[in-house]
This record gives sequence, structure tokens and C-alpha cells, in this order.
Amino acid sequence: MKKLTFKISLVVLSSLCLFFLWSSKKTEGCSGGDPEDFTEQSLFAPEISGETILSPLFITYHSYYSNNYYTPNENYNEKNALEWENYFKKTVSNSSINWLLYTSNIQQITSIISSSKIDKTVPEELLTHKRDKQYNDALVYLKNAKLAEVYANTYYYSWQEKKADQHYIDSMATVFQMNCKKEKNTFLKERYAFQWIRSLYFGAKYQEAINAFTSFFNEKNSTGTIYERCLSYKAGSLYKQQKYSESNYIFSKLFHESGYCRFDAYTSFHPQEEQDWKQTLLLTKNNSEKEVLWQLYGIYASPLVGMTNIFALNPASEKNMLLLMRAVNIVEINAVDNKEDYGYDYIYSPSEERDTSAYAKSYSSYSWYSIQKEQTDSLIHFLETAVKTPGVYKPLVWKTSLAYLYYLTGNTVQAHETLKQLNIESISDPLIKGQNKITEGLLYLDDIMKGDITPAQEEVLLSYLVSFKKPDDNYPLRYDNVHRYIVSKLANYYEQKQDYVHAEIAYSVNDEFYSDEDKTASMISYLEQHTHRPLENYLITLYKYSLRDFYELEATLKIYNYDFDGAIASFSKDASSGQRMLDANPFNMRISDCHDCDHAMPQKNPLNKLQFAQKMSAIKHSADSSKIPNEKASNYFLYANGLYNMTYYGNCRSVSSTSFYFDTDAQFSNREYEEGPYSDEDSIRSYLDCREARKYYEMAASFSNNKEFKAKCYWMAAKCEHAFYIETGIPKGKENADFAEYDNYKLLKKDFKNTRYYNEILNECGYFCTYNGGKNCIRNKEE
Amino acid sequence: MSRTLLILLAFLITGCSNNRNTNHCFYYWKSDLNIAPSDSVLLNDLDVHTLYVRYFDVRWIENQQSAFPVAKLSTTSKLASNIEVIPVVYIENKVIKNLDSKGIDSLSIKMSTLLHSINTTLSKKPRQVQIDCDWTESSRTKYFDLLSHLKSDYKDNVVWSATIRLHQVKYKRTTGVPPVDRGMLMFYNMGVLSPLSTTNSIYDNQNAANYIEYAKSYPLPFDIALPVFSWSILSRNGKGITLLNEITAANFKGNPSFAEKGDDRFICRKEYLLHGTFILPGDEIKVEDISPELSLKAAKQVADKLNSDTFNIVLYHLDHSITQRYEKADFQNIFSCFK
Repeated sequence: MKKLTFKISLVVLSSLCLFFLWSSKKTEGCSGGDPEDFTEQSLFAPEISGETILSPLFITYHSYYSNNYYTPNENYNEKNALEWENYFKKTVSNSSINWLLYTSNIQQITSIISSSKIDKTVPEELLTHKRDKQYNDALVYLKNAKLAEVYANTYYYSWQEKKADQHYIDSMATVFQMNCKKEKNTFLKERYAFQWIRSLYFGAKYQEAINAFTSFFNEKNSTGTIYERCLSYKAGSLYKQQKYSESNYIFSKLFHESGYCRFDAYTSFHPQEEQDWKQTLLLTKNNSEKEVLWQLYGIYASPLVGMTNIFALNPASEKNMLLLMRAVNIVEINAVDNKEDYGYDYIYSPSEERDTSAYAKSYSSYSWYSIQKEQTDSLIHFLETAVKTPGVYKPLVWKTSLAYLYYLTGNTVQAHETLKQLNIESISDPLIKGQNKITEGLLYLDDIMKGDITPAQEEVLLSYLVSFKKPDDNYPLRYDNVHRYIVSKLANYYEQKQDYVHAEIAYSVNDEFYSDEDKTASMISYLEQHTHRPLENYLITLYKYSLRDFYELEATLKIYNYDFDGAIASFSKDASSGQRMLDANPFNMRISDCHDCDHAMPQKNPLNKLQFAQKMSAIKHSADSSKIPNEKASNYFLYANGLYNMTYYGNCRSVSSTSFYFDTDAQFSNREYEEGPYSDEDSIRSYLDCREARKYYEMAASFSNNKEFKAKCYWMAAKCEHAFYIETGIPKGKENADFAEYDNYKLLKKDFKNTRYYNEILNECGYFCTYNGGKNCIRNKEE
Repeated sequence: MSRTLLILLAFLITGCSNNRNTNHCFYYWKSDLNIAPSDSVLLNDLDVHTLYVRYFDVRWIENQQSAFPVAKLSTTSKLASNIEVIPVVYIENKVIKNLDSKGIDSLSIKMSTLLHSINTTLSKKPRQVQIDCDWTESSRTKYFDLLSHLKSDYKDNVVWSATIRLHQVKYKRTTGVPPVDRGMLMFYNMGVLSPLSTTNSIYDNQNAANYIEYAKSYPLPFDIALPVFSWSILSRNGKGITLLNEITAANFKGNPSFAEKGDDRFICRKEYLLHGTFILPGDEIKVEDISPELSLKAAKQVADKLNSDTFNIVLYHLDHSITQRYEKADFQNIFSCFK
């Protein structure tokens, strides 16, 4: 039997009228997709630190951990509404206050002031509320505040011009300043001050904004949301004045103290040069403020430098928790290759580019790797000191991190030793305990992979794998990633030992494996075995294919080897195989192909793959055994149609569909954009090869004495010729011709010019018409 | 030395001499229109009375599923009355790809309104408007539709210009020729922007040579845009993470936080804060410097390849750090190449 080298692809059927459609060259870059978040690869959960407030700053490829792109501040609007509720002494409902503050416009507020309801949305209680001074003053304030929104609260995405009407802003600042001065009520006075300072900021009067802040708050240590918001405008003004040290110092305070603008302060913190950063440190009044600055430095720059400085100031500081988690995760980014492998290069992979070039290696002393190693070694050294320091904050978290870092850097002796000291079973915190179990499992795998894994070791490994099944989606430990990491390493181990079946069962990356017939055969006999060890059974349950898929594959390969009886036998090994339905009637043909039309055409007796194979076998048998030439001819013609339609060019290319996806065949999806030839005569796959169909079209013609029928056969044979040249290249000397002069073209022109069918071809196929010197061909008209 | 003498000297030194009607210009690409007084003097000395001013970018805002103008020009100072403004709008190709024909219609109206609004604020009545978009085959039809719509929606009778990248010159058959009056040949950003690339992505003589011969036969009359800017690509783990504008080798040479890997490459040994960017150990910097000499080389390469005798020579871009790095004579030499 001919060796089957054919590979099958799941080709997305598109609305292609393929015949005589020359492909144009088109270069398409990989459209890519969002890269996986780091959290989909990492094995180390920062949640073990217990850090909650700053958890949005755990390592992620998004802006914020868990929050993606949304700033995770506490809800200021809610707090503000509560403050207003107290101001009104609860005489106004929370919903009306929210409407006043965040929904209403100037006209509506004016209407409340004048007690005239202008529309239904104004809450009744605001119109009927007792008109005391406190209520009226509040309405006047809100009306002014709405007037300021045009410049201070503009919607970022707008088709309006970003217009700064200086005069208007200046006049509003004056209004707010005057009201602030004369207002007696502290609540409103503070809010007028806020509007005043903010207006000065938006009017680019930065020094005046700073002065206003100083004069109002008088440098006293105020608190409260209004103070914090005013302070942020002061910091912003300082930044605009390029006084970065002072600006950043204030932002660091807000980052530490203000729940309402913590993450805005974090994103506003922008040291510019080394010098201004040093200056910021000098502005701090105590060690705690310094710690906050080093924490921010650790987030933005090096966590190790941040931690070292915080540790020097205060070993018991909790501020190192976030930095420690970031530091471990950063080491992981480079040390753990645990991307979910789709089997094709879909996602940009920095690891493949970095330092693999000869260029990078030629500078080995300054290579990325050596510097990273240096950094990681320093980090480990620092952690070794930290865990020995009395009073260090959450020593278990430090030790857990250290054990994992030892593992990541291949220091298994120290990793084991640290885990021993940790005494995992005695740890009460479930997350810390679980994280150490993960390290223990990873170490175990590394240990057993040094030799040949014994059945006893397999069972221990299995117990780890089972325990790493995620309890639920919100569980913080990264069990899914750990599980994938372990099975992929196990697959590598088997691969090294040339145990390809186990490697594939453990972690199946792509379907390259199945394009090798021997490997596929060994997989089938492995799966057909009656007994497997527990680890094998576990992996088989997770394995993506079943025996049925293989029988279907085997049958499909036989179909494309034109062994239809063999295919039927393979399908029969499992009653549920061969049931995929064909998209169209495979025995139909057209002058110009139109797959969409064929697919849309209702089918009386739609066929599945098994029935297709049965029908092909029966037709061939009838044709071979018939003694009547015209009967032979019509059966060979039908058979040839089936052969044509199961190729890439036909209406039933989905005959090739199986559960297997061959990554190397992904090119077919872009086939229309790329110019051939795609392969040479000897290596062309039967899925793309129309020669067998051509053979039977020509045979059908030879048995017939009907000229019209013969013309049809030769036309189809010409289409096969054309398809073959698309695949393998246009014959020499004809490369620049718009179309090649095929043997069957010549034959049609020479002997069938007077047939009706010939004229139908001329009408329908512009290329053939042009070939025949036609002037008014479809093709020319379209152009 | 008088200006005439200087230019004459420049002719002799550069060997650039043609006889054409050219107009000296700069791009102004910042969102805050505020020109340093010394730069205003320089513009006058260079006989620059036209600025291509970027009014806004149109970008696709994913979470709004809509196109919006970003980095809109805000004016804190007025432009001198003798400066002619040519508004430029940059449109992200994704915008064109994502909009349907209705969206294109409405984008044209919105852009026209905003253009007029900024014109009014600047007290300018432009005679030309430029649209900048790196369109592709797949966005071509819709982009060209947008250009056609703009012509009628903008209402004022102006010359319409579109930027043309080198690949669009060479492959004009597939990328098409935009329906405008003039093309701005962008003679920069011609290479692959990658930390691993061994050539300068802003300008590379060899790379340019592969395309420039096609300029003569381009069906739109060209103006020419040349680079005078530099940047450095900062990469981490082999992946470019940011561009450091106007940062050149001078920022790293002799700095103990950096080790030199080659003329244009540096590796960070110790954390370093530079112009607001934290550079970390292991980070690599690829400097892409357009020196006055290189810029002149670009000018010489393209000078006799253009398809028009009346055109604008536009330097990208007017920025104080660039005018500090380039001498006045450097700019003059470039402009002189096209005379």
C-alpha cells in the first residue's frame, strides 16, 4: 500500500468561486490577539501575602490586577453623597442627592431655586423642601459648581474642541473665591475652596492655585475628602511648574493615605530624573513617609531596591509585602515558560526573540540572561537575610517566597531545606500552605525526572496532580497553571526518552504527531490496550482524542488514498464514526464552481462521510464491471465528480474534516492571498491533487460516444489541469501568460467547437472565452 | 556671515543644486501649541512661514466602540499672523477598518466641524488640509471614501493633501492612489521598529533606495517630508516597551548605569531614571539617531526623485530639543538641497 503522507486540515469553507480565480499576492501580518495575561502562566499567587488594599498592583499585564483597566479607588461619589446627606440633616433622600450632584443640569437647579418644575425628572421632594438658608445656599453652590463643569469635568472622549476660555475660568475662580470667603458654613466653605483651587488649576494659574490651597488650609494637617482632592490639585499644579520633587512627595502621601484617590495618585506619581527623586526623599518628615516613597519606587522600578531600602528603615514594615510578591512574579516572568500552547505561533513570544540572536550572545558578559541572573541572585540573598531577621513582617510569606525562588533557580537542596523548615503540614493559613505544596510538587517532579520514573513515583505525582485541581474559578492559588506546567514538563521528559505516545498523552500541543503514521499507529494500539497504570488512566481522561477520532482519521486517510473499501472498514470499527455530514452533493459539477450555491441547494438524501465512501465504492464497482460503454462513461463521470469535489477545489472539501487540526496546514486559510506554486509534483497531497479526478474524467470521455457529454468531461479535466498547475506551478514558458494553454483547452477548441456545451462554457467562463479570442467575454466586461 | 553667503556656501558643500519653486515648512506635532521665542526667530531666519500643525488624532476607542479625536490641539499662545497653518489630522487605520460606510460619513462631518472650530480659535483660514493615515489594502476603499466626503463636508475650497508612505508609492497598484490634490511623501519611518532590527527604522539609505525610484511616476504631485528627529527604543525581555523621544547616545555614553554594546546599543546595569522613564537592569536601548548629516543624506537621496517642481519641504518636526541639537545651517543645508 502506498505510504500515506497526506495531512488533513479543518478548512473553513469560504464562499469561493475558485476556478480560474488567480490569486493576488498579499502580505498579511499576523493579526495576533490579546496576549495572555501573566496570571495565566504564573505558578505563584501573590494573594498569599494577605495584601488587600494594594492588591490591584500585583503583577498583571493589564493596568490593574483583577480590575483590568478600571481604577480601583474607593467610590468617592458615594462618600460625597453621604456627606451631603449629613449636611441636609437627612431631610433629602440619598437618591435625590445623587440626582442633584451627578445628574442634574444648570437649568434644572435653577428651576428648583425658583420652585418651578421644568421637567419630570426633577424629584418632587426637592421642589417642596423647606426653603431655609441651608437649603438655598446649597442650591446656589451646586448651580455654581455646575457652571464650572464645562472646563473641569469634561468628558474625555468628545468631538468638541478642547477650548480653554480663559476669561470664563478666571471669572469663575473669582466667584468661588468670593463665596468661599463669605460662606460661614464649613461644609460649603470647604467646597467653595475646592472649586476655587480647581478653577485656578484649569485656568493654568498654578502658583495661585498653590497659594489658594495654602491660604485656605493654612498648612494645618487637615483631613477629609475635600482636603485630599484640593491637595491633589496642589500636587498637579506643582507638577505643571516642573517642581517634581514636591509634587511627587504629595502624590506619595495621597497614595498612602487616601482611599479615594490612591490609584490616581499612583498614576500621577512621576519622578523625572535621578536628581528630583533624591530631592523627594529629602522632603519626607519621617521614616514611614520614606517607606511609602520606596514602595512606589519598588512598584515603578526595582522591587529589590525598594524592599532593601524599606527593610533598612523598618524590617517589620508591611509595605514590603506587595514588593516581595511583585519581585517573585517578575522572576517568574522570565523563568517559567508556561504559556498555554496552541500549537501555532498565535501569540507574540518575547522568549523566542530575546537573546537568542547571535548578536545578543556575542555580548554574553552583558547579556540579558547574565544581568537577570545577577538580579535574581541579589534578590535571593536579600530574602535569606530577611528571613533571619527577628520581627520581620509575616515571616512565613518571606520563607514561602524564598523556597519558590530556590526552586525557580534550580537550587533544589536549599528549596527542600526551606520547605522542611517551613513544616508545611503545620501551616494554618490555607493559601500559604497550598503555595508551599505547589513548590513541593514541582520539586518532586524535578527530582523524579532525574532518573527513570517508577510506578510508585508515578502514584505520588498523580496525588499531586489530583490535589492541584482548582476548587473554583475564584480560588487564588494558580492550580490550573501549575497543572499545565507539570504535565508539559512530564511530556518533555517522555519526549527526551523518545516515548512519544506518553509525551503526547501527557500534553498534546499540536497535531504534528498525527501526521506521522507510525506514531499514530502506536497511539491507537496504546489506547486499545486494556490496562493502564493509574497515572496513565488519569492522563488518558484528560487527553483530547478518543479511539473513535483515530478510526475516523484512518478512514479519511484511506479516502484520500482512493481506498474507499478500506475506509468503510475503518469506519466500521466504531459505529459512531463517519457521521459528519457533507456540505453538498459531491456528485454534482458546474462549469464554474460555486460552493455557496452548492451548499445552499437542498439535498434530498444528504450524505455523511461513511455513506460517501460507500457510494464511491459502489459507483466505481458498477463502472468497472459494466459492459455498456455509455453506462461505464456515466459512472466514471460520477466517480470523477466525487474525486474532484473531495479536493480543496470541490464543494465537499469537508470530507477531509476530522477532529485533528494540523498546524502546518493553517496556511490554507490564507491560501487565496498567496501565490502558488505550493508544492511540487511528487509531494503534492491528494487533498490538493486533482489528477485522479482528471484520469476518470478522461476515461469517462473515452467510453462515451456523445459529443456533448465528452465536451463536459474534457472541460472538467481542464479544470483539474488548471488546479494542478495552481498547486505545482505554471509550465515553463507560460509563466507570464494570463492563463496557461492546457491540453484539454486545445482539445475542446479543436474538436468540440460546435457543441452546445462549448458555447455554454464560453458564456460562463471569461478566461476560456478570452483564450478563444472572444472580445465580449464576461471577464472583460467586468473589468 | 550673511544668509546669502551661507546658502551659497551650503550649495558648494552639499553639492545640492536644482532649480525649483520650494517652500520651507515644519511639522508641529505637539498638542500644546506653544512655540519658544527662539524657535520663532529660527523659523523666520529659515524663511519658514508655513507650519503643518497636527490638530488632533482620530483613534478607535475600544471601550466606546467608536472613533474619537484624542490629543486635540490646545492653544496657550497665538501663532504669529504671518505663519500659514496647514491642519493635519492623523487617523489610525483601525478607525477606518472598524467603521462602516455610515460611520465614515459621520466621521467626515465630525472631523470637518472640529477642524473649523480649531481654525477659528487660531484665527486662521487654511488654504490646505492634510490627512495622515497609513491605510492598507483592506481599508483603502473606505479611507478614500472618507477623503472624498471630507472635500464636500469641509466646505471651504482648499487643497487636499494626504501623506504617502514609501510602500504606498511602490505598491500603488494594490494600495491605490488617494483622491486628493497632493501627496506628502514621508521620507522617514521606513523600517521595522524593533529592538532587534539592525537598521535605523527612521531612515535607512538602503531601505529607501528600494522604493524611491517609484516616486517619479506617482500620479499625485509630491511635497516632501524629511526627518530631523531621533529616538531610542527601550526594550525589556527583548520586547520594545517605549520610545524615548530625542534621547540619543549622548545620554548613555559615559553613564555608569549603562554599558555600551555597540555604537547604537546600550544595556542598563543599574536602575536609572531618565526623563520620567525608569530604566531597569537588563533593559536594552537601541538608539535611532538622525544626525544633521544623516538628515542631509536623506535630502540628497530624494532631492532629484520628486515628480514636481513646486513643492513644500517639510521637516518633522519643530521641537525645542531638536532646534537645540541642529544648527541653523543644518536646516538650511537640507532646504537648499531642493533648490
